Amino acid sequence: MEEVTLLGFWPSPYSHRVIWALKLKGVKYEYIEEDLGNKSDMLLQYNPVYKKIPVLVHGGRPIAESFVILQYIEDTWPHTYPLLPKNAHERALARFWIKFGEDKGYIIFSAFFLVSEEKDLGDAGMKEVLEFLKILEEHALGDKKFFGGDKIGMVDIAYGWLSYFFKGMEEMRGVKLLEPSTLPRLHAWAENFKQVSVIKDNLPDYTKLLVHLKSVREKMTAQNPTSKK
Amino acid sequence: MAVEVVLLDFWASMFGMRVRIALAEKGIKYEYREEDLRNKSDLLLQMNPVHKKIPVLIHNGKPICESLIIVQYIDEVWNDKSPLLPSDPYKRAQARFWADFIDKKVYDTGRKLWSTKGEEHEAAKKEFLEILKTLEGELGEKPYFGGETFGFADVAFVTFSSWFYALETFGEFSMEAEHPKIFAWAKRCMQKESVAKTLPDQQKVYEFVLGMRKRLLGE
Repeated sequence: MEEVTLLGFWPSPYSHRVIWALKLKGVKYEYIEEDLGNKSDMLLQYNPVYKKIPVLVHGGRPIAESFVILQYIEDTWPHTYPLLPKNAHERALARFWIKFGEDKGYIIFSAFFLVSEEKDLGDAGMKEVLEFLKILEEHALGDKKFFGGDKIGMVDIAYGWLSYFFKGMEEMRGVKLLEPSTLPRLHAWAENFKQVSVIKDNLPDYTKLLVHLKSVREKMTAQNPTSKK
Repeated sequence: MAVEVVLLDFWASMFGMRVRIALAEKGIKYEYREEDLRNKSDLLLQMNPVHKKIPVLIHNGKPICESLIIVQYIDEVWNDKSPLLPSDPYKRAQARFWADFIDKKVYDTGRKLWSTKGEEHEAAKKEFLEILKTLEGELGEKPYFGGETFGFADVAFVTFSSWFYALETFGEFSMEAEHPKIFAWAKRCMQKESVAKTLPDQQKVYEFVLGMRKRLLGE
């Protein structure tokens, strides 16, 4: 079998999406940790358009953008652990929800990393994040255990950041959005997702993650002293 | 008899056009419903409650939203002819990557060309030309983004060609002079019936954009 390499970054949820997918499929790979402050020639060569991780390299050919990579993994190793539903309409729905999360990425990023004041939930950005979570809970998850049904699938992997990394973001900002009182089903999903053995065994150290998140926010707010919208 | 395939759309939407081209490529009969975006139908709000946007494809009563997701759905369900995505996983990944690049970059920056002024407009012009350069680099000497045949990434980008005249005018550049490969590629795509029959006239689009610009900038 051709060699599989993953260029990743230890605190990145996008990097972890690929790790989780490869592990669920039982695909052996070599992991290369990138120093994002000093990107390798290999990364710049393999992802000239965005210069970002994760990049999957299979048989010397690179694939960039985590959602594209997830679909590539699904197409290339179709016989073990399907990540997408068989039914075409359900597949379209899965893609829709993954894209929904991608599209809201900036709102979430700015609310947590760019706005430099306010810990209060009345903050406009936080309100938007809460709205987003409510839509996810009501329309995407509903009463299912996982977005993928009884087992985790590509949508769960795509929202994996919400199950673990989000807690660090909340702690960093001193807010509590994903609570059993406010979002009971989504909160339960987050707990269940983290317990899946492939996920549990492949998460960054929480304390280290928190330190990292804080330093990212410091850097971002120093560069972007924002006025409230 | 119930109509099996319905498309909720807006004539000038490059996203809606993608779906129309895919349906035409596959020879699918469907009912087209024009939406008034300032007075959206109950059906649209019901079928796309999350975004309330067109295009929405309704197949046997079930909605599919987001243009590229719809195009993939069409490709998967009507898989007997005109494949839009290649069968090779690596080529599929490349097609998805570029379609995603087009989605992320072309619309938002293009929009700034006609909806902003001053410094923001200058920055948008620069950014847009960079985007076109990147796309031209990817196209290279290939007849289509998909290689020898018209495919997913071509569908994703070709619909913007109906907006070229508007983008050129507000962006103050000439596609033919400055990005000849893209210009030639767009002409090549227009030789396909599905594209030629779908894309609205560039002048009509320009007038529509002019109207939107007036409303936004008051000039």
